[in-house]
Amino acid sequence: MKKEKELEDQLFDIGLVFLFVFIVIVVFYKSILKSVIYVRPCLFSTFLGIYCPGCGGTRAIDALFHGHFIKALWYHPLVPYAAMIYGGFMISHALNRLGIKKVKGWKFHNWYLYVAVGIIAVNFILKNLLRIGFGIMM
Amino acid sequence: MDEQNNYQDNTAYVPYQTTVVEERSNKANGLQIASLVVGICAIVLGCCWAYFGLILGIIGIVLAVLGNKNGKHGIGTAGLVCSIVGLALGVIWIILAAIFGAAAMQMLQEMGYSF
Repeated sequence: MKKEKELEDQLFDIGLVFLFVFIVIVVFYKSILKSVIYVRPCLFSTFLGIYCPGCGGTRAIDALFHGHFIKALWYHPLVPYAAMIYGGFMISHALNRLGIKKVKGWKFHNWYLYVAVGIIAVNFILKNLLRIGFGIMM
Repeated sequence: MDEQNNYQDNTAYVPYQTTVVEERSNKANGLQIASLVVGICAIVLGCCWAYFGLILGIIGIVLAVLGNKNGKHGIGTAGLVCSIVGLALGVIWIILAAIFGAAAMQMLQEMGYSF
């Protein structure tokens, strides 16, 4: 039991680091980077003719932050999935740590990651099938 | 049997130590999981910008190596593999840009993007 608790605690701390890094990147982008970097199309899509595994990720994050969950799901399903798993895990553990012992912190399961990889693969194959097979662009 | 009693041979009475191996936790530790997450990000973002592949790939490899020190797990190995693939993607992109960079820039400018 002790070893299992340590894993969730490690992940919570790593999750806080991820959150901090994410906030730093967003602030940095909005304040400085946006006006400095070039606007360019997706090089992968332009030169290789297929969508990359992350196609739609940025649009999905944008949609999620504006409250459009279904749109985010369509742009790239990994983003709302990861947000739900990450959010649920971090919030449940934060509440538990803050003293609300009724809320039990989520346990980590390996399938969280296997499903994530599966989502990336299926999304990649499906969208490219639509593009190459039927000419349907996203 | 008499000899065993005289020699105080204790080896026959020591129980077989089979439990030591099973006590090891079958769960991946936090660093290994983080390395897999970073490795996946390195692949996904490395397609977009080569330096993401390079930076995240290196971070993922470091995390995987540190995580695997305490014990092997599938996730640690997968994290290492994904990070290496992300790193390779970044390197391939940089090589492609070096070879086709000028032609690509020209094509993009014709499409209407200014640099």
